[in-house]
Amino acid sequence: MRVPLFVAVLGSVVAFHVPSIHAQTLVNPDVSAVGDMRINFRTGETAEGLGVKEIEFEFHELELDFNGYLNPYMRADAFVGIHGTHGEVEVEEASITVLRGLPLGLQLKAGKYLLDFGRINTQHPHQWGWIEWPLMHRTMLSEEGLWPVGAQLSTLRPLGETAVRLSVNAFMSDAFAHEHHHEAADEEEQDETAPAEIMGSARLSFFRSFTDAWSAELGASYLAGRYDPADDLDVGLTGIDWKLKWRPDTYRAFIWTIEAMRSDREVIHAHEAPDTSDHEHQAETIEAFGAFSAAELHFRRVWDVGAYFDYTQDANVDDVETTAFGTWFGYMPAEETARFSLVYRRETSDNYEFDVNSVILQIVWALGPHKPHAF
Amino acid sequence: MKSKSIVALLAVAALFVHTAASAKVKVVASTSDLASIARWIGGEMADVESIARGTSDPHYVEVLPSYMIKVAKADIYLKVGLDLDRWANEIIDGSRNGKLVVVDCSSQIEPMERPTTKVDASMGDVHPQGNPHYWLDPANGLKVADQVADALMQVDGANVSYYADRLEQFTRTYERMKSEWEAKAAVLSGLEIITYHNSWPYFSRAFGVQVAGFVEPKPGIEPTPSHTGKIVELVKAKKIRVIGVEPYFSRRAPDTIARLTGAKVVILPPSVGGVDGADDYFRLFDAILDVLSEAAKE
Repeated sequence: MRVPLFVAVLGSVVAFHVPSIHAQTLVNPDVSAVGDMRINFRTGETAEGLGVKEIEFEFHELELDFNGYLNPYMRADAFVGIHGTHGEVEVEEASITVLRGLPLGLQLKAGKYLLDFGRINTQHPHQWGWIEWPLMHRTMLSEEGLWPVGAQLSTLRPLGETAVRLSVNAFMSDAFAHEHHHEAADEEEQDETAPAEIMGSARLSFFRSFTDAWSAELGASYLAGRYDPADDLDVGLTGIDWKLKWRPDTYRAFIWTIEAMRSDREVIHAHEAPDTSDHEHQAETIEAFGAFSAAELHFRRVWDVGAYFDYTQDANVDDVETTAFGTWFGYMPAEETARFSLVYRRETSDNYEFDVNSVILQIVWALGPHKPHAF
Repeated sequence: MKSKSIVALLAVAALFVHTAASAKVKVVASTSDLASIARWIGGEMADVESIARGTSDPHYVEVLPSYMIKVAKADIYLKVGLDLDRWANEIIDGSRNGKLVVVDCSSQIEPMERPTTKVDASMGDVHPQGNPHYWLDPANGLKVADQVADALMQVDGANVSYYADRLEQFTRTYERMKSEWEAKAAVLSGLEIITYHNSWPYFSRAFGVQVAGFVEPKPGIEPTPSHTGKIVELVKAKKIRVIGVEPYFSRRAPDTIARLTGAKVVILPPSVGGVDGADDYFRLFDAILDVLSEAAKE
């Protein structure tokens, strides 16, 4: 009696699962994996006055992407990043987007996503020939750009021949890079567990195709809010971005990107009290400016060369600046699923007393469906 | 000052409010071929635009905001399907158009070269649902026209008989042209050619031209010296006289093959607008057959 019962149970499980496996196959999301491995060689002087000379193999990131439609009106996108060989796992993006059906042609995105403050912050780093996050992003937004949890409303409208896109975002402040500048005694007085607050940002961009080959986009971004609720510190950021592209065919392209940001950030700095040796803390506003520009030329479909300039003032410390520049040479054997790139970078800061030269061989590979080429 | 601010606000608000719809049905198509068929069926009742030009590679179209704006104002979007125009989904999604009728024009087609084993990137850019260049058999154009007419009738119910008449005209024109094409193709029957990409199986089936090999070693993969060498040997062995290149591919490898073999490189337009004279769906076949006939004579 037991055997027939087992067979019956197994049969019913199989009968139940076969159609569901088939259905699952039909509705599977697009799944892809992007690997980013690097061989780094660095030489130069560090702040401690020590010479640095190192060569290393670096497993920079494995990114797992899941994308698909939830229903006729919505899609979901999830990007999970695994950093280094010790497997620090991070949900980089996980969002749903209401694509259509909202009034006034609005789109709503909610979840964790790359904030559209400028153009560069909307892209994953493996898309860039210059490899590294621009210096101004690292100091004004966060070490690896701004990927907050929040919601975005956007619309796209024609203005003559120009496509105008407006987006507004509300997001949690804990994505923002900040450091507390308290002494131990003060920390007891401070509410270090102050919950994150909601910040806001907006971006307005104008896109136009001048000919079949030439297109350009000009954007302006603004962001404001309380980035450090524990210390009641506010930040305001403005940015402009520009991208010019010439792409006459699938074999050739020229792309020129410029982005600039200005940060007005309240920070707390410790000062020695005049009458005692005690430190007192004062809030002050640091004004900082940063700019990044890259020009790249793609030829014979699989080759590209480019150069970039990167400058920023520190968003947390007055009168401190860092400069970098570099160049790269990239090659995609066969097609876009693999790319080898040789990058030279020099990064200097008089204030932080470092001057480092890097040569990086980057290998990026992508398994899975090709994503369409976006402007 | 206050009134100026209000005027400025109203101006910005006006930008983001829909403009009044025009009376014509607005159709956007992924390719110039589908657009041409839509122009035939839609006639004066439809405004038709295409995203990809006839001279551009339909596999790789950059997703531009200006395309999204076009689609935002459209009533119907015509997709090629079979994974050729995956980029169309990004444009459609970006358009935010909730009323858009999306037509996958491949849905009535019997695809050729549908893989029977697991497909992966080691095979190049193989389309898992079959070869997507189906419009190059004019009999498939009839099936597309049928679907386009259905979509127009669905969106513009007041002009059903108009679209039915236009579909009838399209069918009659096809029947008339078919006999002309067959006469032209008679001299090409059995002609062996090399093409750059595997764009021509449907054309080959319709007109009897045989594609003996491809300049690409695998679909979507750039020519390599070793593969080019094999094609040179093939051209010499089979005494092939014609190398057909789609207008958006590089002529470097085809010219090398031609130089080493004496074969002739010709531009074969796989889409409307690909060469002068191929300015609608029917003339596209005239243009292709004329190019091949001319090259075969030499």
